[in-house]
Amino acid sequence: MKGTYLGELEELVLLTVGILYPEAYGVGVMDEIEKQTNRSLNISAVHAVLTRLEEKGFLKSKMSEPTEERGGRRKRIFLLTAAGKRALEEANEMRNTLFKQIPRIALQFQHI
Amino acid sequence: MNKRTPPKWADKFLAWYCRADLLEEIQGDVYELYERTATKSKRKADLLFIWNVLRFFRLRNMQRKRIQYATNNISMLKSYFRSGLRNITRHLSHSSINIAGLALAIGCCISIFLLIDSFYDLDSFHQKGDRTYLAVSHVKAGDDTERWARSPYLMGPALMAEHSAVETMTRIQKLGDLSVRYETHVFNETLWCVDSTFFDVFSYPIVNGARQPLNDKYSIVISEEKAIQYFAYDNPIGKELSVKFNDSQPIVFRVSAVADNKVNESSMRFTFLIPMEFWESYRGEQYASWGMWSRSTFVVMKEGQHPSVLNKTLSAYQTLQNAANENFQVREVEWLQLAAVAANSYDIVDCLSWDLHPATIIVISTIVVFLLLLACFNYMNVSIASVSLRLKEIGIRKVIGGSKGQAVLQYMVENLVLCSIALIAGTALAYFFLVPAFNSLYPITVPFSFSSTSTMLLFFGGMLFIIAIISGAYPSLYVSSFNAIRILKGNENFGSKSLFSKTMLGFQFTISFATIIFSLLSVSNRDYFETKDWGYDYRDIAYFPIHGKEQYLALSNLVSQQKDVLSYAGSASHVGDEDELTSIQSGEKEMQATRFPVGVAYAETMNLRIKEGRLFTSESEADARTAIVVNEALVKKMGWADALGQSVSFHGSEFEVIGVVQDFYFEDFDKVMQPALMHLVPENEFTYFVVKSAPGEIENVVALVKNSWLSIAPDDAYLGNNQQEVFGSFYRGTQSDSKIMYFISIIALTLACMGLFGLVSYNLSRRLKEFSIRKIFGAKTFNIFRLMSQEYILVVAISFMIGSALGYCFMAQLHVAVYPDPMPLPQWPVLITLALMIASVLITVASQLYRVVKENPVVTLKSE
Repeated sequence: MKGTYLGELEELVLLTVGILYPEAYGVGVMDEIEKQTNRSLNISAVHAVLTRLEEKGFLKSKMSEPTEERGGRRKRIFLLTAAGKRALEEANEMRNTLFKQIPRIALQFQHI
Repeated sequence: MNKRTPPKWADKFLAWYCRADLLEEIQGDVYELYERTATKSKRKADLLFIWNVLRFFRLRNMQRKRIQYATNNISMLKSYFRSGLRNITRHLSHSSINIAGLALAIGCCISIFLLIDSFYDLDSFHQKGDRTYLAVSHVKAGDDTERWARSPYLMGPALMAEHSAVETMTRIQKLGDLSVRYETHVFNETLWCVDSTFFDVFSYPIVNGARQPLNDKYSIVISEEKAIQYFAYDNPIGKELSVKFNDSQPIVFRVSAVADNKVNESSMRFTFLIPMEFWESYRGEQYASWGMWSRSTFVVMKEGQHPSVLNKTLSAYQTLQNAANENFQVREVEWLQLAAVAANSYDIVDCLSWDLHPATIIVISTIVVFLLLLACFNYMNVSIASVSLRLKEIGIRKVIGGSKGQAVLQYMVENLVLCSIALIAGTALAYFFLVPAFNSLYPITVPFSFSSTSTMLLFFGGMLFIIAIISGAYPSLYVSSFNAIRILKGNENFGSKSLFSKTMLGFQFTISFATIIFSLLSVSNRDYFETKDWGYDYRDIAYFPIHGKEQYLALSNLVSQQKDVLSYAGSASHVGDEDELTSIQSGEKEMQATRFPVGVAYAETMNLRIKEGRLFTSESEADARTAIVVNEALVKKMGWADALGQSVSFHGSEFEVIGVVQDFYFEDFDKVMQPALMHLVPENEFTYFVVKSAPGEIENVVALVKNSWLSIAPDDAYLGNNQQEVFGSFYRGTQSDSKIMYFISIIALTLACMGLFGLVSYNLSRRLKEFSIRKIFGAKTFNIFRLMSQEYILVVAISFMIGSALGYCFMAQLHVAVYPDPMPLPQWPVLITLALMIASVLITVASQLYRVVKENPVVTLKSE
């Protein structure tokens, strides 16, 4: 199914949203990705991915309560949906299945 | 806390493009990042902020529709419209000033546009107009080339015969000054000789009579107005008209048709048409030569054919023509489409179309555009001044959520309402007053109609749009820029001393003073011409164009019996009516001089003033052959110390100067005095009869001649006139011009006064309380008057100085350019303008002062 295909960056963002529960929002996701994977993303790219994931139904969002720090502006908080959880699981499972099929010999490098 | 803010423009840009539902989170994120970085480096944070804003500039984040706003504005339009109308009725006097001013200017614009539009639309009614071309000859004139409407007489038929691309053609010869007689009515007329295909080329409708009216050699086609003039309400078809060509026997023509000459739509105006066939047989074989000219040749090409295909043939004709006519060397032939003839005719010699010089069009358009600008400035001034009364409204609108854009829109809609009313009023003004007045002043008739519906719609739409924008843009931007909170707190320091409105007012007054000075000067110029010495006493002289010796003798016989007749003479030309340039020679010198072949008593009858020597006498045999009398200009140009006895030669004969007369005007006053001479001719060459009567008796003599005219010259039109009338058309022209100038300057002054009135009255409304308090404390009326007027007096005084200087400069320039003999510019126009200025300011301010004086201060102070 085309619509539910999960890209690499999408998967990363989806995972980070899960990690940051229940405080995942644009800048937070960006910072977490940088911290965990050393990948520096632009905030607009993060926004684009988040929006795309929400359109695919993997994320849902709500506006937070206003706080002092952003000049009273609210954050958009992202949460995983059931579909999102399933997509993560499927991706994880598929990767594991594929990984297991690699012949053991192919992973032994001392012969080369 | 040290507050850091990101670059304002980037923030605004983000807010502008970003979708409303996404703005908060996006803005929040970029601000968060900004603040985090800004603790380290402000510069870096700024750059990052800008970079992020730019990166967010994606289609998905952008505003697609402003649905919310759009519905809002449309539903508000009705309200704006209503509040606009209410505002107009509430301040009726000021709105009517605005509307009247705009309407006046719009009326002028419409009239001028109609004139220009109808001019450029001339000749468009001809069905084959797009395929009809006038042959314009480019003739060598010195080193230059002149455009002539003339072309070889044989060219048209030859092209027809040789080229199948030519559908048809017609030539036109214009014969002026012919006497046309029907029974006992004789009039002087201009006839056109045309080919029988005339009505195939042009689409002048035949109202009555034959479809092919020029087939018979002795047929004549007349225009509708001539049919009424000659035959009143009788059927003109088949009636006989006799036409006298020069001194020959009259020739009888039969009216074959009456045609509508489309006076308002055609640039060419015919009254009588006779067949070319007749003219050729009348003039004999001289027409078979390539040296002969046709006044105009029009060629109709077949569909899809361009006249450039004729060029090759034409160059062969050109060789023939140039060989036959040495003085007229045609370089090339230009084919001018019929619709373009009128617009080009100012530049074409001998063109049959009436012309309007482009410079004239530019001048009058500039004037009306200025008037329109004046009216718009008025509006701007008054509406900016009126803002003070509406500040609270604007404040409240803004507080309850009206945006700046909405305030602008509101003002524009109100403005549009007002402009539409002004446009309707202006159209009515033009229809009922301006266009008829214009038509009565000038010998042309501008119909109140547009060349096409689209032109009309475009004109009115464009006019409304431009006026609304010019008059409304600044006030609405100005109004909408106020800060709502400050307005409602009463803190807004509204610019009562606004430099802008004063500059506008000053500009208005400058223009109106300049036009007043200019028109007064041109009127004084006209008066100067009217009182100017003509070089001879023109009163009690009358002249009658005649044909031949018999008429001369009969007239002499008639007037010589009258005791009131002091003297009379015959002549072959007449001062102010007809003269001829001749090349003369004296010794080494050669020059052009105006020649008057006259009878013996002519100079005396004309009251010419003798300076030296003597006039002609009938006793001297030699006078008749070799004597000439010259004017002072000729003596001066020749450089003679003693003119008498000098010998001059022209037309192959030697003449001797016997007398010198004072310079006399024979052309318009705006020409330099040219050399002129008189010599004697025998009685059989006379074409004029001139009579001088005892003072005040000339009308009786004219009446006598007129009554006996039918027995003296039954075939010739009576064209007698008082000598006073020879420059009549010149005077009437300048009179019309100065009427127009008066009119324009009055409009300009009225508009400026309206502007002043509007400003003063609004200023007053604002300061009414102040004045009331002053009154309570015992201020005199004069004090209040001074307070009210002082700020305007200065503006008006400055514009008076600039305006009068401009008016004088302009007039002086014009004088030098147009009149070689400039009169000194008088001072009195300045005094009149000064008086006008003081009066207009006084009346305007005083009319408002009345309000203050009349009003009970208690009432004013209690209100609100």
